[in-house]
Amino acid sequence: MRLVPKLAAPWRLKANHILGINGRNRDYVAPFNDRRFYHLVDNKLTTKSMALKAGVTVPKLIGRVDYTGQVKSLPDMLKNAGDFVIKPARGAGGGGIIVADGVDENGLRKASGARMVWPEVKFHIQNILSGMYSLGGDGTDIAVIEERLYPHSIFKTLAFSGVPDVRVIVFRGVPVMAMLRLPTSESDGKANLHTGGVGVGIDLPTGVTTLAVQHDNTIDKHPDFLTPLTGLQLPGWSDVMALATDIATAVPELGYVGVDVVIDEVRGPTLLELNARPGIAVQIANRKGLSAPLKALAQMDEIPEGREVRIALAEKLWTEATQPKPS
Amino acid sequence: MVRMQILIVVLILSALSGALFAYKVTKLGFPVTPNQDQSEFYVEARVSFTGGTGPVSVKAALPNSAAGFAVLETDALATGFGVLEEADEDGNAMFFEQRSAEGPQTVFYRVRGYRVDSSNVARSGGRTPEAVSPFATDLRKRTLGTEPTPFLLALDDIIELGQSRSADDRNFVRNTALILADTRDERVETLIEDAATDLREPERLLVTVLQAAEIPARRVVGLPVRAEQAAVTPRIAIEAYFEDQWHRISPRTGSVTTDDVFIPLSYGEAPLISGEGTIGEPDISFSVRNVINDRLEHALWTSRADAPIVSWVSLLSLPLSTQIVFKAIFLVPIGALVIAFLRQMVGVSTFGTFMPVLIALSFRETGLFNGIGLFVGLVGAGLLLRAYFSKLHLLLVPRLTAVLAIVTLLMAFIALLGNAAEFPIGLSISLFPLVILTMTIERMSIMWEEVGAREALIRGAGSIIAAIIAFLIVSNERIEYLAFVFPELLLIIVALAVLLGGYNGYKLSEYLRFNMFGQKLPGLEDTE
Repeated sequence: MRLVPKLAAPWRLKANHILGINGRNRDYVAPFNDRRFYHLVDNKLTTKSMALKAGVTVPKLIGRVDYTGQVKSLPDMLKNAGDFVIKPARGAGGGGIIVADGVDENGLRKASGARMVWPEVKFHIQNILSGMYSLGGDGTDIAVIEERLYPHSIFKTLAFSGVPDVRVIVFRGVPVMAMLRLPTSESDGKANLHTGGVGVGIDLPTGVTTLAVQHDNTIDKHPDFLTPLTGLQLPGWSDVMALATDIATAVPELGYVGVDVVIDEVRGPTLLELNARPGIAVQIANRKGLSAPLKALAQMDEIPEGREVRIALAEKLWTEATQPKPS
Repeated sequence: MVRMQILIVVLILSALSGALFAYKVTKLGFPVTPNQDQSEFYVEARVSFTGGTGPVSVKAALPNSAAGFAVLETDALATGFGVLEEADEDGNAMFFEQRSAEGPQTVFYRVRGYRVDSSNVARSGGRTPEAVSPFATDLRKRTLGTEPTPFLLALDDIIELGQSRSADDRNFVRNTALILADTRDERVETLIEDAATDLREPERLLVTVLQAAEIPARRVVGLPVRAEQAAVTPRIAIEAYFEDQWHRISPRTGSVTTDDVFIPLSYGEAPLISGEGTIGEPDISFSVRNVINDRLEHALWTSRADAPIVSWVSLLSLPLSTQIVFKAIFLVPIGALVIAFLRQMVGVSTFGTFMPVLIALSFRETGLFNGIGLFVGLVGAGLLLRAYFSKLHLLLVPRLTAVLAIVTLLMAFIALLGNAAEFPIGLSISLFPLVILTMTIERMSIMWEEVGAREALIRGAGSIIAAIIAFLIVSNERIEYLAFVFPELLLIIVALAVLLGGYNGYKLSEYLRFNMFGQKLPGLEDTE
């Protein structure tokens, strides 16, 4: 074991175009993301209605509970719902989510097979309404009931119990980098990297996975299934790129966003949520710095309109950063 | 261009601050380091009263030179009043007079003095020992023969008993005090009950008996001084004269006490503050401050003439109790700058920016090691409670309320425990650390719920480490002195903060996090 931690040489990070937190905040988040519009991405209901307007696929809304009084009508609302998910509209860190298979007169069946009787369901929803699982914890929230997503079958042996998603970093409406996030037994079914999830780098033009990391260490097999993680073609990749471009274009007030996409078995790429301060770990999984494409885009006076044009620009920037510049 | 503006702002602030600093140091002779002479200090009194329509004259007790303390100079701050210093049999006093002083009035005066080891100090106040004793033994004996009241009989009995047990005055005083300390003794009871004056106070009782035995003795109201204090409460003591000098006597044991400095304010029964004319209910309070620096005091004195504005805006012209508060307040921005540096340049995660600063300031009150122990213990207890209440499925805000209430009880318990063990930790738990602890527990609980235990613990540890580093800096005497005497240096703090805010480079922690980028990436040419 090393006593002195290994540090990168100061000039290397810059030469490799690595974006630091200070750089992200000062050069991209502060100038391009207007704080007044954060609520657009913090509230899943707002995000959903915005996405629908932009023609982006989102999980279908089954119902919402705004007040404690509405809890009574819950069995009625869910009678014909089939399978669904209950989540807080302003949830943080994936807390308070219930995935259900269906309901009967006694209560609901969770996806895990466990049962929840109606009083338990109502108590849980009251907790959501009291802001127990919400950002900031100011004491109010809305419970959202929406259609359950089924990850594409390719993820059967790649994701442990939870829902894997693709995080695409989009700047000024142009995707710049993407990463697949896989839940593991260690991360407790959550796709969060800092709790032990696996991050997989993606070749932006093709959607083929390139490199996988867990706890910032390179791995080549999934820790639970021992399935290979690199060289996989993600299904519907061009639709992921299109979705990320469309939703970011629809929120020009937030120039630097993380778009979280679930590749659903039936509906294809579906928008899960947006993030106004996406992390910088995506660089580790891709072995690539964010600064080069971001700087190039920031210097452009105007970004050309049109989905196809923007995706072409994204691919061009990606390739430029990988290949030596002609000198 | 933003970068240019930042540079200009930083330059202007630095130039302004540097110019003021240089002017004060070179022209006015303000010293840049504290030359703390622990033996010199100020005693400041604040007198307030409500004046009526007529003329008013207020007499307030003034510190007297005594064993262990010598008065050097006196000055007063009392706009509109005529100020007069006078000594009488009650000791030194300050008189404030005005033809008409309607409404609430506040005046200040202070005495600069120094600690002396020797007890041979020329005393500045009080009567001569000969004048102190109104009783004469032969008169007392004569009266005892003609009309023996129970009071005189008891008095005679006690004095004789005291004399029979001792060979000199010093021992007589000691033995008499011991006899009188036993209030169940019949003779002592008789003395207290049959006295013409109120002798229930042990100090008064001993003084009366000593005087009857022709040992000059007197009651003294004075200030016990240990360290710098924002408020000192006057205490009653007694002094007895033997072996050709006054000795301070403990009324319980009768032994001579010399351990701490006791500044006499008023001898005999005179109140600390009194007056003629309408003065309502007058109030007097005292504070003690170390003289920061001899040369600084001198520089301030001369700058009153040379540069009145500098001396007027100097914080040293504020009342002492306010000065002590400002000393702490000026450290907050310095601490905040340290935290900003640790967060932006090093990459330590903390709970907010100000939390670690406030923790560091509360360490100033509790001491570093006690403070860390208290902090970790109480935050830990708070988090355990949080976990339990979470199992009960309580809602967030009421749950936090319950946690805070129990932590408050725990603090009270620790204070009691410290008090019982005569361990000073309890005394240092003031409202300030309590508020900070409860805020930390709240923020840590919320983070624990929202992000997870790992992140909450990392931030908790980061907060403590940042607080320790900030504490080491704000507890430095030189830094405290500079911030307090040269407040213009805060502009440099602003300039440094602006510079830090404009930093978009890597944090130290990112060199570790991104160490996989330590080599040249394939396909990338070195730009530098």
